[in-house]
Amino acid sequence: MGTFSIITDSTSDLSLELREKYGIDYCKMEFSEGDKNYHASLDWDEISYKEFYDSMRQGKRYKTVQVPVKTFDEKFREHLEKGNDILYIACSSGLSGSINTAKVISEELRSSYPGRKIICIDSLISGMGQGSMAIKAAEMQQEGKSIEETAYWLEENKLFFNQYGTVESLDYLKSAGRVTASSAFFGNLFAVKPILISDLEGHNLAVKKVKGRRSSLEELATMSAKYIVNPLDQTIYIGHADDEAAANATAEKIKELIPGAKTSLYVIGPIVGASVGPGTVIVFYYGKNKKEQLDGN
Amino acid sequence: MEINIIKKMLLAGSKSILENKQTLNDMNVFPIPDGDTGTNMDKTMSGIVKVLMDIGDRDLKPADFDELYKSALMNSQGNSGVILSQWLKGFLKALRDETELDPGNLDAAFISGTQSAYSAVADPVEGTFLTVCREAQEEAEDLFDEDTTVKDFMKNVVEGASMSLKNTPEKLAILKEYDVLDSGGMGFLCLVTGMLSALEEDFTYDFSEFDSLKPSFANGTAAGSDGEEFGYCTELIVKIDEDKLASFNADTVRLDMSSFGNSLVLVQDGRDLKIHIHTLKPEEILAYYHRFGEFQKLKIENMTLQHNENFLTAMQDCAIVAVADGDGIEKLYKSLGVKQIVRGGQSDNVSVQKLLDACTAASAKHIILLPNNKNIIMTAEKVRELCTDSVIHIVPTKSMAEGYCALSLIDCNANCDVIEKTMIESLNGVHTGFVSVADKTGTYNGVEVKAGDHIGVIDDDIIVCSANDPVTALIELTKHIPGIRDVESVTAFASTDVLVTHVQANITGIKNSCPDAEISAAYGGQGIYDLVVLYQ
Repeated sequence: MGTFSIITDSTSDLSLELREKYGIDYCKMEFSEGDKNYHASLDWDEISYKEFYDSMRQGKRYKTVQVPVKTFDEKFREHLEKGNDILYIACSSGLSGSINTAKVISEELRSSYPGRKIICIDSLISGMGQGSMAIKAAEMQQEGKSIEETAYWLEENKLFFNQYGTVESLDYLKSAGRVTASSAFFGNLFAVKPILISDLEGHNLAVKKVKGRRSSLEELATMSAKYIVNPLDQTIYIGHADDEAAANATAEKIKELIPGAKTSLYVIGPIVGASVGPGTVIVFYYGKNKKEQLDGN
Repeated sequence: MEINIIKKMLLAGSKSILENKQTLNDMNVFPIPDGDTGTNMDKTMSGIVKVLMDIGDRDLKPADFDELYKSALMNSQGNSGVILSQWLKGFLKALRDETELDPGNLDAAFISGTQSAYSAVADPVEGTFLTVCREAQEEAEDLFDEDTTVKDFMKNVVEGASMSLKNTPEKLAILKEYDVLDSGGMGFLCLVTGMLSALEEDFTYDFSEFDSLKPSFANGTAAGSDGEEFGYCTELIVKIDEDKLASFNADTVRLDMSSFGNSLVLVQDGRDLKIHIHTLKPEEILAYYHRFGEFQKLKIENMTLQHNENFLTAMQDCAIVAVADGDGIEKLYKSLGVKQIVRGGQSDNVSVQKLLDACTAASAKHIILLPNNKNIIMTAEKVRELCTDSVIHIVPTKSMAEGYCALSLIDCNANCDVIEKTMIESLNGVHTGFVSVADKTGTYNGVEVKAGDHIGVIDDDIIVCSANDPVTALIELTKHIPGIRDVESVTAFASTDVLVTHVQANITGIKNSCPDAEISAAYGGQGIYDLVVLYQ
C-alpha cells in the first residue's frame, strides 16, 4: 500500500530547502527569450536570478510556457512507478492551462495504472500561496491524513490563501495578459503603483492604485495585517523580484503591525517573475476568504 | 471513399493551421491573452504530421489512429493545443476500425470529437473552440440527407464552423470587448477548411513545403473576412400554428433566409421555432415569420450602434471632463478615462460656452470637471450653474499636473462619489512647480530676474529662482518645494520632446533634493510653461 506524492509546478516558488523538508516535487514549466529556451527551475540552475531580472530591466521579455505534456507524463509516471498516488497542486487556472493538461494526462495514465489515484487541485493562486498549500498538504500527510482527506481540505480552504502584491511597472503583467482591470485603470501612469490581489477565479486583479513605491509597500503590510487570520500561527511569505530592500521594508512594517509575526523572504521564481517583472513584492498569508478581501476593496 | 483519405485531410488541416498561425496568435484573448493559440495548435498538428510522415504511402491501419492521437497529445502545448488534441482523440477513435469513409461515420467522428473536447475541460466555456466544433457538426448534421457526399458534409461543417465563429463574441464577453473572434474557434475553422481542401481533385499529398510555408492569412473562407456586415441582429421565437405545422419546412425557410441576411441560426423544436439572423430589413423578417404563427419573443438590436459603443459610453452615470493645455496632456488624460477634453489653459482661457458644450457632449448624469488652472475654476463654477443636463462636480485642480494627479488614482468605472472623493484626497499635500521664461527684468520675492531668464514658480505664483536654462531652473526650484525630502515622486511635463530628454539626463541633479523619489518626464506639449512639475 503506497502513500501519495505531493507535486506542484514552477509557479509554486518553493525553495529547494522547503521542497526537501516537506518532500514536495514539482513539474517544470518553461520559458524562452528569442531562440533561447529554459526550464523553469526554482533553483535557477540555467540562469541566475540576478541575470534574469537584470536582463528584464534592460528590456528583455520572456515568454512562459505551461508544464509540457511530456513533463507531466514523465513526472507522474515516475511517482506512480514508485507505487505512490499523486496529489498535484496546480498553478491557478486563471493564470495557466497546466491544470487542464494535467487532467488529460491523468486520464491517459489511469488505463496504465488501474486503481491508482491522481488528484489535481486548482490552487486558484500562484507563488507561495500555491507553495503554502503544498506545504499544508505535506503536514496533513505527516499527520496521517489520506490523499482524499488532504485533497478535500485543500478544496474547501483554497480561497483562504491570499496575496497582496505591488509591481514596479504594470507593463509586464499587461504584455503577459495576466492582470484584470480596465484599460483606463492602466492609462499612462508615472510613479503610481497598483495593488494586486488574487480574485475568486485566481486571476490577478488590480484593486487600487497608490502614489509612490514606499506607500505601496506600506499598503501591502497594512492590508495583509487587516485580512490575516491567526497571524502568529503561520509564516508570512514575502516574495520579491530582486528587490530585497523593499521586501525587508515590507517585513518590518508587517512586524510593526503584528508584533511577533514570523516572516520569510524569498526570490520570486522565473515564471511568476516573467509575468510581474523586476521589483515586484508580494505578500502571501493564510487569511480571510478571498471574497471578503474582494468586497473590502 | 477509402479511409486513407483521412491522411490527406489531416495533413491539409495541419497546413491550414500552420499558414494561419500568426493570425491565430494575434486573436488570442481568452482564457489568457498571451498570444500563443496559433503556436499551440500548430504544435499539436505537428505531432500528427510526424506520424503521417512515418506512415508515408502505405495504407492506414487501426493502430495508426492510436499513434496519431498519442503523438498529437504528446506534442501539444498550451490550453488550446491540449483541447485540440482531445478533439482529435475523439475524432480518430471513432474512425479507427473503419475501412471506408462515408458521411455517416464522418458525422459520428465529429460528434465523438466534440464530446472528447468537452470532457477535457473542467468548466466548459461557450464562445470558444468547444462551441465552434459542436455547432459545426450540428449544422452539418442538420443539412444531412441521403444525397450528402463526404465533400458536401465537409462543406457544411466549414459553413457551420464559420457561422458559429462569427457568433463567438455574443457568447464570450471578453471577445466583444477586444472586438475579435475566438482564436481557438478560428483554429478549428482553419482545420476543417484545410480538411475540405484535401477532397479537391488537384490536392497534392506531400510534406516538402510543410516547414517552409510562411504564416499568412491565406484562406479566403475565414470568417469575419467577408466584409459585408448586416445592420440588425434580429431574434424571434415563434409558436407555429397547429394547422401550419405540416406545411412548415425548415430547409425551405433556411434557403429563403439566405436572401434576407447572414449569421442565420434556426432551431425548430416541435411548434417552437427560434430564429437568429443579421439583416438590413428586420421588418421583412417579421412579416415572413408572422405567416406561420404568433411571436413569443422579439429582439431587434442595431449592430452598428453596438459596435460604436465603447466602454466609456457604458459609464453613463458619471463622466469626466477636463481642460488640457497641450496635445501630450490631452492624450494622457484620455488614456486615464477622460471623456471630453477642452483645449485651453494659461495661454488660452476657456469660455463658459466651450466648457458647457463639452459637458453636454459628455452626456452623463454626473460630470466631474477638472479645470486644471486657477483661472478656470471660476469658469467651471459658472458652468455648474448653467448646466441643466447633468450634475457638475468640480474638483478644483489648479494645474494640469494636479489634473493628472487626480486622475492617476481613480478607477473611472467606479461611481461618481468614489471618484470625486479619491480625486480630492489625492490632491492632499501635492505641489506643482512651473518653469517659464521671464518677460520682464526686476526683483520678485527677493529673487533677481532678467528678462529672458528661466524662472521657477511654486503653486501660487511665487517666483523662487532664476537660471539660464529650464533644467537648471527645475533643479533649483525642486530645492524650494515644501517637504521635499519626503517627496516620493516627481513628474515633469515638458513642452517639447527635446526638453523631456534634457530632464531625463539630469535626474541625478533633481534627486539630490529628494533621494527617495521616482523621477519621470513626459511630453505635455503645453504653452507658456517649459515645464509643469508634480511633486507628491
